[in-house]
Amino acid sequence: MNPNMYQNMNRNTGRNTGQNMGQVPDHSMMNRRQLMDHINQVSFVINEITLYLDTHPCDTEALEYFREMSRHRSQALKDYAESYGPLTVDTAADSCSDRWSWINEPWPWQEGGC
Amino acid sequence: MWNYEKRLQYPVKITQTNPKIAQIIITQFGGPDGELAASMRYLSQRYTMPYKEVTGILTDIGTEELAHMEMICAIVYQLTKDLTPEEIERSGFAPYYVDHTLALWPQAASGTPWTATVFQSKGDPITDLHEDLAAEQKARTTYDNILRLVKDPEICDPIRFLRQREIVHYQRFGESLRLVQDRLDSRNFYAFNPEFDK
Repeated sequence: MNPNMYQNMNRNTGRNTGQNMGQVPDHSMMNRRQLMDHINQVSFVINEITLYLDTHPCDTEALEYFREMSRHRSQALKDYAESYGPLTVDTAADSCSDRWSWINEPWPWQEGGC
Repeated sequence: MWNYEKRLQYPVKITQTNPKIAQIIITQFGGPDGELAASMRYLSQRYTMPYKEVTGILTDIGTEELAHMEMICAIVYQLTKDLTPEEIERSGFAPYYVDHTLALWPQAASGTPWTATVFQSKGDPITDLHEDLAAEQKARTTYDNILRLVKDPEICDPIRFLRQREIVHYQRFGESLRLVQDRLDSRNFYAFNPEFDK
């Protein structure tokens, strides 16, 4: 785990740099660990902007950034569920397993969990 | 309602057990300035909050505090996993162990059980937001105190993340207080309680 992952996130999301805006990254190039890190990063961005928007509901730039990150998060959660099992009940149907994989993958506090 | 997401807000991967430190960190689960009290405080205060921005902040920060509680529990769980009776005796963990084995139970570092008496839900937005601002600072101080005692970087990393969140929440509650005061009589904020007076 890179302890600076959220600082790196600010650079990699390309806010104000015009890089890759609107483009969801290719998750097929990521291994499980990398895709999980990516989900943690975009989800953190969503948490952070949500709180900011609660007290700044008219900031259109922040709202645009929220929409962008929200698309990234939805796609990443869906791709993760397909390959490794669901992190949310909403993506449990995307899992390719013929078992109820919600309980089969480790819980987040356990070894091998997220 | 709430939905569970099967991941921690920030990863916790601790490879070395340390029951001594677990007994200190558990205070952020069930102690006076812990995450459970923080969540219950905000989620209780929000129902009568008359301003939609502040209701949103109380809901969303109250929800994030549940995720912080889960991180603290993950830290304590990993610090006490597979302990032997000898390790339990040596580390002073026996008084907790005899009541709870290795399960998680919300208590302060002193052993005092979690209680709702550590927070208030007063029904006045200025009063409640001042309580919330103080709560974030008290939690930040607790994390600073923990960081002075902990040396293991695997423990420090998620604790630093949680400490940082207290500061962000303090900022958002400060903005909430400003939003409330902007809507009140600037010559006397206390002339009227918008959660009660009509």
